[in-house]
Amino acid sequence: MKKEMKIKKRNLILIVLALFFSLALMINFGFVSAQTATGSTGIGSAASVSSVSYCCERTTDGAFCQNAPLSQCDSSYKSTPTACESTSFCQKGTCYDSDEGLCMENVPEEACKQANGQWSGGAPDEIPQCSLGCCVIGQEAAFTTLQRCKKLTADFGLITDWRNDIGDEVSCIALATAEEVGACVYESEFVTTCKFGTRSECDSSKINGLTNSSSVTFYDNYLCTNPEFNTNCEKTTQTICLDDKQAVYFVDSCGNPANIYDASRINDEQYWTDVIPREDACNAGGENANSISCGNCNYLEGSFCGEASGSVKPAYGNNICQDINCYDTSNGKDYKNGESWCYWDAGKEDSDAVGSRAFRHVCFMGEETVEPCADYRQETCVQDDIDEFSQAGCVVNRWQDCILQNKSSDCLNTDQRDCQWLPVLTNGKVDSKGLLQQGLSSINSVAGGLLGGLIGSKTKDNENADGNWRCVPTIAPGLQFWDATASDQCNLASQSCLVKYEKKLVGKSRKCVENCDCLDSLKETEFNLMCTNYGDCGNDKNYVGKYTAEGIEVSVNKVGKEEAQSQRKPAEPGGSQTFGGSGGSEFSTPDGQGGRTSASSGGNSGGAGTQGTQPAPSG
Amino acid sequence: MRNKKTFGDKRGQVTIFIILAIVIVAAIVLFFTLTDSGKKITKNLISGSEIDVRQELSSCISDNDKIKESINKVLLQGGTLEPKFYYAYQGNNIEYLCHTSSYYQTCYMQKPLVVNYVEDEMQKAIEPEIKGCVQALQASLTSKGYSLSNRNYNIDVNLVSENIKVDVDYDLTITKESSQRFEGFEVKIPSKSYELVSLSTSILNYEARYGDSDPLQYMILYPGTKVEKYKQGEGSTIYILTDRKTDEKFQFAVRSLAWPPGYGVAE
Repeated sequence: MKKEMKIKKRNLILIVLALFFSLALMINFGFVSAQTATGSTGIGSAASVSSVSYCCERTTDGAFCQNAPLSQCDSSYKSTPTACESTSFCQKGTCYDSDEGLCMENVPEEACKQANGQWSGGAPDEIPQCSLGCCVIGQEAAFTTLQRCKKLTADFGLITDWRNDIGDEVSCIALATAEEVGACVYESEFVTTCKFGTRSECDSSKINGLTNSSSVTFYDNYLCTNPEFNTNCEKTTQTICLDDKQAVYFVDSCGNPANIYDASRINDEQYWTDVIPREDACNAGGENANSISCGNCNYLEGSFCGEASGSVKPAYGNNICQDINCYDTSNGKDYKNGESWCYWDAGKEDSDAVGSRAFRHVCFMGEETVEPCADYRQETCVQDDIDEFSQAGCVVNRWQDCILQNKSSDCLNTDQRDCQWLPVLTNGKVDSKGLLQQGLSSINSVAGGLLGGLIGSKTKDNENADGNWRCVPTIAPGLQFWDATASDQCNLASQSCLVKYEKKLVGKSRKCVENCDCLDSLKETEFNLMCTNYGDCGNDKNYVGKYTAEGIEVSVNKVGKEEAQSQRKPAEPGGSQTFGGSGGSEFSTPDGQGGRTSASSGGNSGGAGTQGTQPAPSG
Repeated sequence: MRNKKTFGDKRGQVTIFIILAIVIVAAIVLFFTLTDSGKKITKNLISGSEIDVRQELSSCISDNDKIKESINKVLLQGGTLEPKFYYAYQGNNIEYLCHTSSYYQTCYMQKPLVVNYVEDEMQKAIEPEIKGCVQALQASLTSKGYSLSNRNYNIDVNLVSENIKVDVDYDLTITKESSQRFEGFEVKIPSKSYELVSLSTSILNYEARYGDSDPLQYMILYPGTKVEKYKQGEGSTIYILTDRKTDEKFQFAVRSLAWPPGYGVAE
């Protein structure tokens, strides 16, 4: 932020006072002001700063429908000096891929035509070929288009089973699991053999090596090792992991899966005869991670079939229920498979330290992955625990229209925006209570939310009309301090303070009578708080803890002079290039274009839009 | 009488031997004509050179490290051999598959038929190596004394479940003592490309509609695939899809519903 202190000095020598000869009054105005006029920049005006760009149907680098300078438009395609969303040639439609049976959204007509697709100017829901149904593929299912179903089933040599009466994916998956499974017995090369699968898969046309005269019989809910079938498929001590299943299964000598691995039942004739549902298998519902005797893995509890490695070896076979939970993660805690949690590199959720960013960490299949939320604090991370199962997600920081709100009820409407209602310094009135609250807000920010809710939530609507209150972002956005728009935004936080002096009739001494504390160098800290609430403005720490003390400028002008001084000083970029909190390795980019290469370039660090502090008031 | 009996015994024995011989021969004939394994052996014996030709070309293609490298390169660059409209990330230029240069707008799909697109790019990438394999085969056959007659050289790459299918449309006739004609060759390179690229279409549609997607939901649906999402400072997002078994990766870039720093400006 820029602040300058302007001093207006008015020497009002009153004729009346001259007559009295002994009276003189001098009024001094101390003025702490913004470098530029406040309120001149809003969302609308910010947008209007945009340089004139064209909508190129295709750019010279091959992209379709991009807003770019005319020089980047491919001259053999259309272009017009307006936004692509407003043009007819860049109307978004659906492109249908008749080979794959896929429908792609938001496709410009030309892009679809060039790819030999079929374009329709609407959403996929409006296109008959894109209507979804349940495609049953053996023991699996996919909620997809008819054409896609035909392709998928053809890949597996199955008859297309597409049901458009199934309206959602969950029902579709349930349908697949309800498919009848059993032993498909037939004769091949004069030997009675068997294949385990669904009834639809048990078709003579789909079985290789079938003896010409052989019949094919399906036995629902029986295994191929059923002694009554007298097949060449024998029980073994081997196990298998199936692509679409989570448990460890016994496998017979023909390679067919049998029941879930249970070491105690390896010689149980019945266990090799009937299909035993998962719910009735060993230790159903338990985690069974690293169990040497039971392969009833539970994906939701954190175990999944995998090859045994390390010291844990199963009693039979080479597969085991692997533990897929995450231990000793980047924050030192343990998490279950599927859990996610937040990390803020500045330490806490509502911190808006310069260059700070939120991250979502995910535990899945024993691996911790890190997803950065959008940079410049345009997103933050929120998390909640449901039955001790942590879930987190990046959400948009809706700060943009905070400064347009005049009422605390509008400002604090969390359905609409993420703002806080803070007291400010205007027209020379300094609300000490307000400044205290500002101070608390800042302390709260540093103290890890101990005072959370104190600011804003306790304000009342009777403060609505009070110009001493202002609506500001709860999490101030990050700015690109090297960009002129950053200073425009910071200027919104500029404040002025009119200080009045009284000069006595005799002598040169003068006495401050109003808003005197505005000239107190300690007050600068309080002014700074408003700056930091608007973005990367003012004096602040960056996310690695480096403090910039040249972020504000205070000018003091004498009466009537209003000498605006512009002494904006960008802070030196500081901080380490290490990306705090990222457990992954993807966040440092040697080429400088991916990830955040430094606190200064990508991370708006170091005090964006900062101004030099000149706190010496003159009077 | 005794001699007669002895003679009769001998005749009986001979008969048994003959019957046994017939049974054995019949069994062998049946084995080679009716069983799969027998047919395979017969086929190998009758047309050994055909198997050699097919196997030679097949192994040259499927075991070729340069072909694998080229395929990986295409997959790491957003399915593009030579990216033009890309985001530079960790040493790779990753093609945008869905992009808008505007803030607050969802993206325009850039490669609407992404499976076909990746197939075409892979074809471009591996064509020189395939040609090299065909030339090596020709040289090998010529060195063995075969005369060759060939035409219609063309290749077609298709992504299919678990494989990259390379159809070499190559009409080849080889002649030594007899002639054999090959109307084409089909080689399958084990790969999870199809699964990864197919999954990307769903992510792209989510990005096009909502401006974002949730990797965790995809991983829950497809536990065998790791989905990583990295949002970049200027609004681009890099997706990395990894098959957990084969470690194959498909990377692509998206820029959708980007937010400017501060109030943002001009584009």
